[in-house]
Amino acid sequence: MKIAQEQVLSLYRTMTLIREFEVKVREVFRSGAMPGFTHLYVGEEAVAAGVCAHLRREDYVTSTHRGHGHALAKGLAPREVMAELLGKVGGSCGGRGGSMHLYDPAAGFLGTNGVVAANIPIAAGAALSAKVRKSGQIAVCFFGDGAVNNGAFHESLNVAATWNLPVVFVCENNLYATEMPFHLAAKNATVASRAAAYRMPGVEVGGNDVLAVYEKAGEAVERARCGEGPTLIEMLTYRWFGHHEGDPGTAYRSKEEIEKWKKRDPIKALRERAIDFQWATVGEFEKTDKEVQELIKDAVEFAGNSPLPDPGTALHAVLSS
Amino acid sequence: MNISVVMPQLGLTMTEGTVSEWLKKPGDQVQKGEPLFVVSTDKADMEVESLTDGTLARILVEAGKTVPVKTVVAYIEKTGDEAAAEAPGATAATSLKSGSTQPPAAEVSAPERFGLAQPARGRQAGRPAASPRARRLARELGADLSTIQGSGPGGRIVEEDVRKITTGAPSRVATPDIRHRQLIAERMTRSIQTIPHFSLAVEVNAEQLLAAQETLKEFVEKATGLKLTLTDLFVNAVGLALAGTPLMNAVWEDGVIRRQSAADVGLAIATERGVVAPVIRNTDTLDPAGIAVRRNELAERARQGRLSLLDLEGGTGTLSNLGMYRVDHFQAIISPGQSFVLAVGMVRIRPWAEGATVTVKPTVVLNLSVDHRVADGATAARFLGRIAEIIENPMKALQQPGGGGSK
Amino acid sequence: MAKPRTSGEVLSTREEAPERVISYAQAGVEAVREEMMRDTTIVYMGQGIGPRGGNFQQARGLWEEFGEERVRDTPIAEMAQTGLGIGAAMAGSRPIVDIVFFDFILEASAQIIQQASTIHYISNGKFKVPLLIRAAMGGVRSSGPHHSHTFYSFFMHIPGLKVAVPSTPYDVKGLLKTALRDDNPVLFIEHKALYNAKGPVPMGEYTIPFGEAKVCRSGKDVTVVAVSLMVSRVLEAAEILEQQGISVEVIDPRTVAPLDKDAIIRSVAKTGRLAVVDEAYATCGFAAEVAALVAEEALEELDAPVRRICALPAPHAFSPSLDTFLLPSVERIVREVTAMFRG
Repeated sequence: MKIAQEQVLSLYRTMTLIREFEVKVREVFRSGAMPGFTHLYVGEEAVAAGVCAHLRREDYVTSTHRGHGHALAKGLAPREVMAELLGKVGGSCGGRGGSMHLYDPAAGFLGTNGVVAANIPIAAGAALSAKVRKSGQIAVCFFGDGAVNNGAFHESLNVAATWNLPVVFVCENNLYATEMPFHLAAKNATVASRAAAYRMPGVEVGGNDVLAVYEKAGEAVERARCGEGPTLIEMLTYRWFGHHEGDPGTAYRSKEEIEKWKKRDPIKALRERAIDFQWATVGEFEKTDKEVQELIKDAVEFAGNSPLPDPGTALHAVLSS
Repeated sequence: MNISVVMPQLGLTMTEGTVSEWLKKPGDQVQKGEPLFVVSTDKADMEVESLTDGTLARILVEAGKTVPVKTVVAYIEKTGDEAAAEAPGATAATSLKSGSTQPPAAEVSAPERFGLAQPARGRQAGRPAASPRARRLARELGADLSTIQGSGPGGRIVEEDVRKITTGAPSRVATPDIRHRQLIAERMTRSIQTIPHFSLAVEVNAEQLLAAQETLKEFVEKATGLKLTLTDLFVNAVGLALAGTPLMNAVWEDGVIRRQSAADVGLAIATERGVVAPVIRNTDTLDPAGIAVRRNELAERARQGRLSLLDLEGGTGTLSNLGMYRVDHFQAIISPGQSFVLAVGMVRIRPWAEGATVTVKPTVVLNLSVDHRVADGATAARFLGRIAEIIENPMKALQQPGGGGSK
Repeated sequence: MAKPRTSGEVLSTREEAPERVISYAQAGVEAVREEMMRDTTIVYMGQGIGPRGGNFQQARGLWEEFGEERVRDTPIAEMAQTGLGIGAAMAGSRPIVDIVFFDFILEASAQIIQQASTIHYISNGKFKVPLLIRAAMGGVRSSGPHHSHTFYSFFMHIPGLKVAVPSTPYDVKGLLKTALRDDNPVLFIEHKALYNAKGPVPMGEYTIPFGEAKVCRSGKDVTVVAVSLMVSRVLEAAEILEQQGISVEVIDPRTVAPLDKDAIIRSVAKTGRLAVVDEAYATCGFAAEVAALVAEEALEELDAPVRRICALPAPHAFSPSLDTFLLPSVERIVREVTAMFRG
């Protein structure tokens, strides 16, 4: 597959940004400084990066409870996301949302979501609006294997296909919904195969191969933009850590399995392949690493300095006036 | 099916009535025409009969409470063939039509409240039940709630109760007796304040009156079984005199003099609860026997507290006889709505001048109070003069058609 | 079946007097039509609202006039319908999601309560959700336990939502137009049994603001608050009560969120007594809220306890005798209001 060199570095940058951000979040959370709870994206970076690389700023994304990766890949500022995770005024939502309720209209980001599958019809709705307005925008919806047995999934895919909506449904199948293995939740423990039921294209992708993700996502985005309707993409991937911080993730997964998948680190894979094929130099990667570190440092500092919101504002904006 | 029992309109001017007593309790069988409860108005107490057969299902207005006319005071559950047809198992058509909007009231009251409006529990002893609005008003006016009787449901003190106490108007008190006195007080005060009274007196020779009583008493007793009283003859005299003085047979109403078509005369009767004055109609057309019968009937009902409003309405004037007591003469107060009252004192032997000699005769002093808006002194004097004439020669008056005097 | 309608043939082009009498359903259609002409971002979705014109004819003629892009029949999927509405609203459209039978809004409640009502606030004002959700509540002709609910108080309970419950054609049109210009999620809840009720509606443009109650009848002895279908029953009861010497003031809030509590309190200050008549249940319902409000803010105006006259606490039975017994009838209203004065 032809891919521009800049694109390779760009993909690397996005993935590394996500990785380093999440690792930092883990550190901050464990220090006790972060309220609420958090769900880390470490290990799945290729999906967010590979898909969002095709999206324009004005395209729409809806995300999940495990959404920092999507947020950063879609263009939310790391310092604003970090501040939001700490409930600070400088956060994307002024501290009102936190990890599972990140919103940013400037980036077309229609929110991470605390309710599994609830974001699926919302993405379809954004796509509907784009279609009726003939704006050329598309919508991408991220969800996990846990969402595909939910009514929201079925209803939304049916309508999207029936109305030929410009939406791409991306399932991050990391094999477990909280602690429940996919094969115990569904007789059909696959996702791409389900697309046939709605008469839409279903694609299965190795979700840790960012270039494969990039290729297949690109096709689906193109289909949507051309008015050929929705696609369901199943990304096979894995999260390194537990479901949420506090869950070691080892009660229901074997150490062997976790190690096996860690060896398929998407970032390491891209870097090695890029160097092998001379798409980029070690120096360029290291430069990117440094830039990312700076961004993380800035994010932590910014978030730390940002104040908590004044309780006097607690009743503002319940309604739009 | 439930029938509403309402506070009846018992007289033209009645706007509200007090349920003074329930004669049946919930669960009792009631027959059409049977007395159900007693209402007291500003004139008297009267029984209200049931308009239907059935069972008294529920009382909405307790004894002692005052409500406007037409207010539903109770429900009677109708029994009989109609009700049986409405029971389940009747034909589809009737069960479709019947009862669909008529739930049985008695059964609905418990489930529909579902404990939502239970009487207040855990009220502190000694703290009178009063609505917040009443409490606020009492506080503002400095009224003591413990001295106020509540007229709201369950005896709760409501705003109106506080207002009435503080403006001096009679509050709605449970015991009818106290209320009756207060009503009399109200009426008499109103009368004195609004009717310009003047009075004339005359001492009359009662010799012939007594003789007439002697003459007539046997006949009357045979005809009616009653004893002919002097009061009967006084009423007779007033009636004839009234018919003979048309200018006097009028009342002041709504700013004008209204002529009365009949010579209706009220008779003051003392009862345990206070004086009442039922009216004898067309007294000029009745003979002493007829008057005796009317008088007796009204007195009976008055003593039993069973006078109807019709008994008490109207009348041009009233006769008040205190001659059975040691009263020589007295002035009475005109009843509101009437134009005169004749106060009659004791018949007793008194010095009497005849020509130039002084002798003794049975005499009686008549004191006539008149509404000056209706009649002037001359008219009143002529009227009193006629009464005196008739009393001094009753047999002559009785023998003349239409009584004595010019009409 | 209705005769086929031609595009452009609409209801209000006939020669009519400045104020004409139209039905509750027609008033709604007019409001939607006028706003759809005015605002091209409005998109209408629901089951059967396309060629069929809506189960209650509440969307009659719209599909013919505006076409299938803007007026869309949906599959039976209330949750997705509403979720799509939310997404479309966030993306710059102004969707109307017609749930048709209010009972089925329960399928969509997670989207309404967790998503729609929270987005503006949680995004710190960055996203608006100008979504109108339309549905018909209440019982009609023994509609039974799955088609009779009136739990509008569930949504009144949630901050971030507006809830309208119009009782007349005049109110439907005025409030619906206002709703379609409001940038918040609005639940516009009509009543099935009122769709054929006729009433005067002016010819020209007008709107009714939310949060403004109507005093339907002036009185001095007791305030009775009612919404939707119950308003006409209360007015009927008021006539009967008048003859019995009880003068009733009837207040129709028209919207319950926002609620015109000042109008209610002003009235209670005048009369001293308050009853609330609601087709919904008493527990945790609209009537309970009004009672609590008045107890909290105007306790010393009350000369008697507040009375809730509501549906009895049982599911909506089918048989007509049970159905009418369970819901507040004119006769029950008269009886319960009377009891506030004596016994």
